[in-house]
Amino acid sequence: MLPLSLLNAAVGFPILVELKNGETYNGHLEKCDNFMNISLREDGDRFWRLPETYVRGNTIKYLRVPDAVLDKVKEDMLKNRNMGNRGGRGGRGRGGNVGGRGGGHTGGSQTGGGRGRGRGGWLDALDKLNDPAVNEKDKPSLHKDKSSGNNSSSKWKLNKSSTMANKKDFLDELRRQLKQRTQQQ
Amino acid sequence: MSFTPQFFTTAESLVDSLDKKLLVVLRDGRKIIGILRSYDQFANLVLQDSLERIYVGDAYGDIERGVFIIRGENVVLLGEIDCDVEDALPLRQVPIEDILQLQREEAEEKARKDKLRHHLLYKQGFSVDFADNDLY
Repeated sequence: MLPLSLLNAAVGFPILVELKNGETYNGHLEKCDNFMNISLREDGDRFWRLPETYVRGNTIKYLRVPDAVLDKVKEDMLKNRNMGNRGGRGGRGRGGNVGGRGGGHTGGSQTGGGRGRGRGGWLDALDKLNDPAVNEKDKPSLHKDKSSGNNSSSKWKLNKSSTMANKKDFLDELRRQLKQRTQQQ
Repeated sequence: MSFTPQFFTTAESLVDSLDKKLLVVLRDGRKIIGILRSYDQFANLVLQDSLERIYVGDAYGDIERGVFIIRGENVVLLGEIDCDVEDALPLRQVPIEDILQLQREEAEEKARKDKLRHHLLYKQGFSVDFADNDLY
């Protein structure tokens, strides 16, 4: 990263500044700007004992910073890269899924409005699963009826003793449906 | 040399020297050896694991300095250090205290000579200016 960015990252760290005239100043870096003007706090110079110091950038020969600053900068860059990647990928993934799945799980009140949109039979079935307004016996079943081969008009009966295996089948079915739908589109 | 966009209007770009061990000579005559981590359009440099090497006669001494941010206008030149040749130096390394002592003695000797020179020139009608920078 650029030298001035490194300097910005060093804010709060103790640094040593040597000026063109050979004077050295020690202190905790408070601020810096694009002209390399800096302000230091505490320490001051062992000679002068200054609580605050402002140094104009063009008088600086060099600055010495602790090694920890470089490590901190590397960590920050890694973190930023990870955050950027994860946020981007996650967002795109969510957009890719059909919105209905998310809508179906969010709650009864929301799906009430959504049902009218007619997103497709199996999605509506999913809405009905979670909607408290619908009667228990009218609720679609997780267990797929053998009689209903046509998915768009299925009424899946809710089997109260549905095991994990059934849920898995259900989810696999959902995924298959999703693939079909995206292929159709 | 390289096809990357030039960062400043000199013939050579510093991008080739990144992450290499360099010797940097400053205007005050100091020689800093370190690994170049970054630079910008002003040739401000960031050197890591740097040490200040003081040469006196056939001896030299190192002082550990850590991370340097050098302001570009203070740099005279920089050169890549060949790590193979570096080990086979004709100079002898001495401890820091010794080299500082040698440096002090050298400075005193130089000051004496300069004073004499100044005096002689002054007698001839010349005025000598003592420059406090550009001591390289």
